[in-house]
Amino acid sequence: MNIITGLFTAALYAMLFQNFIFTGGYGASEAVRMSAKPKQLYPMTILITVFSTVVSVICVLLEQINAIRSLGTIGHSLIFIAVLSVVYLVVLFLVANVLGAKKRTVRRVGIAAFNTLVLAVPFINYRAAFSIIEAIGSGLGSGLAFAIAVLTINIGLRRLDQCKNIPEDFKGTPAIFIYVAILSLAFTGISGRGLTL
Amino acid sequence: MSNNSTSTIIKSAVIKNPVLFEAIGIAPVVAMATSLKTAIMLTTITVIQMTVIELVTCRFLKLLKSRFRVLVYAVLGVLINIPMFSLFSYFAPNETAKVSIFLPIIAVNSLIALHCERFAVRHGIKDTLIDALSSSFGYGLIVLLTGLIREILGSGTVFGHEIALQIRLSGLLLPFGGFLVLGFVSALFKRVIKKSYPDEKPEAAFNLSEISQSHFDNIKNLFEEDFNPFGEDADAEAETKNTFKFKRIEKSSRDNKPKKEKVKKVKKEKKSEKELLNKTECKEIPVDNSQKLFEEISSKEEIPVPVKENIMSDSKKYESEFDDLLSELELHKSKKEKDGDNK
Repeated sequence: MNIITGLFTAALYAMLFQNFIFTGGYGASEAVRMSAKPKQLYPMTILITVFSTVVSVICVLLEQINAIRSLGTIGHSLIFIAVLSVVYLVVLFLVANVLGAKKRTVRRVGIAAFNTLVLAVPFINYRAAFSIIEAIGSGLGSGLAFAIAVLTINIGLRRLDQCKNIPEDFKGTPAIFIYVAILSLAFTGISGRGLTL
Repeated sequence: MSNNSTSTIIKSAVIKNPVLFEAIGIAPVVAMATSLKTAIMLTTITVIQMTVIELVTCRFLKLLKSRFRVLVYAVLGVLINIPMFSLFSYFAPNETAKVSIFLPIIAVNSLIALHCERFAVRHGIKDTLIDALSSSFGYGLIVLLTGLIREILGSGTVFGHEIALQIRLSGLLLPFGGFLVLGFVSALFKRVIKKSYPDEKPEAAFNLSEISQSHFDNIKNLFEEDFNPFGEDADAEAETKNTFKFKRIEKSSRDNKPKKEKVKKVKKEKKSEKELLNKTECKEIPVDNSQKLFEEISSKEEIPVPVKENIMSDSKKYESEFDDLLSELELHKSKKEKDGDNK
C-alpha cells in the first residue's frame, strides 16, 4: 500500500502540484512548440515518459553507491548525462532496429531524450532524496505533465488563433507566452509556491 | 565586418530571434534569468557553448548521423559547462549556488541542437561562426533584458544594488513571471521590427498552421507518422538524394494492399479527371535508352536465369514506382489547378 501511495503521490506532485513545465519551466520550449503540432503529442509523451522514468530510476539506484552520493553538482551532472546517453542509445536501437521506425521518427528520440525536462527529473529526485518508487512516480508524472502542458497550451492556441480582438503586436508568440504565463500562474497557485531548487 | 555579415547578425538576432519568435530555449530564460548576474552567466555559457559546439559540428560532425550528433551536443555541452561552473562559483558563489541546478541543464538547451542541425551541418566554418555569434547574441540580448526587468521589478535591485522602487513584484522571479516578461518583450520587439523593417514578418517563424490537427487519431501511427522536430531536415536533403530510389523500392516491397488499391484508385481518378479537363499540358515522358539496354543485356544467353528474373522484377518495380510517382504528381497538379480555378 505504501508503495502505491508513494508512487501515486510522486506522480501527482510532478504532474499537477508541481507541474515541472509550468512551475519549473523545464521542457517549456518543447511543450510550446509541440502544442502547435498536437498530432505528434503521443509519440513524444511516450518517449519522454520512458526516458524520464528509466533515467530517474537508474540515477536513484546509482545514488546508493557512496562514491557517487558524495559527488557534488558537477559530478552528478556528469553521471546523469552519462546515464541519459546510455539509455538514449538503447532506446534508439530499440526504436530503429527492433520496432523498425522511420528515419524521421528515429530523429524524434533525440529531442525526447535531450531536453531540460528529462535532465531535470534526476536532479529533482537527487535534491528531494526520492526513493526508487518515488523516482518512478516522478518520471511517469513528468511525462504526463508534458502531455497536460501540451494539451492545455494547444487549447489556448486554438482560441488565440481564432480571436480577432488581440492587438496586432501581441498576435503570435507574445500572446502564447502570456497565455502560458497565466497557466503557469495557475499551477503555481495550486502548488502554493514555485519550485525552489 | 562586412555589411552582409552585419545584416545577417541583425536578422538572426532580432528579426528571427530564437526565443521571442520561435519559442526555442525558453526554459533557461524563465527559470534562470531572474537577475542581471544570472543573466550574464547564462549569456556567457550560451555564447561559448553555441560557438564551440556549432564549430565542432561544422568541422567534424557532418558525416555523423543526426541521431548520434544530438548525443554529442549534450555531452559537449556538459563538458563546456563544468569549467564555466567552477569559474562562476569562484567569482559569484551566491548566484552560482542559487542556479546550480539550471547550469548543468543548460547543456541540453534546444537552441544549440536546433542551430547545429539547421545550420552548422549545412554550411562552412565562416557562415557557421556568424550564425553562432548572431543567434547567441540574440539569445543573450533577451536573457539580459528579461533578467534586468525581473530584477528591477521583482527584487528592487540592479546588479545587486538597491534602487528606490516603491513597488516590488516578487512573483516575477517565478517562472510565470519569466513567461509574462517574455510575452511583453516579444510584443515590443515585434512593434520595433514592424516599424524598422516593414517587409519582415517575425510571426512567420512560429508555424501555427497545424494547431487544429487532432492528436487522437494518430496513436496507431506512432512510429509511422512523419515528424520533424527541428522544423527543417538537417541531413534529410542529402539522404533523400542518395537513397530516394531505394526508399521507394523498400516501400513497394512492404506492399500493403490497401496502399496499392489506393494508388490504383488515384490513378483512375486522375485518368477521369484528365479526360474531363482535357488537359494537354502534361507531356509524355520519353522512354530512355535504359529499357533498350536492359533488353539487350537480358537477351544475352550468358546471364543465368535467376539473375535475369531478378533484373526483370527490379525493372518492373522501378516502372511501377515511377508510374505511381507520375500519377501522384499529376493528381497533385490537377488538384492545384482546380483550387486555382475555384479561387
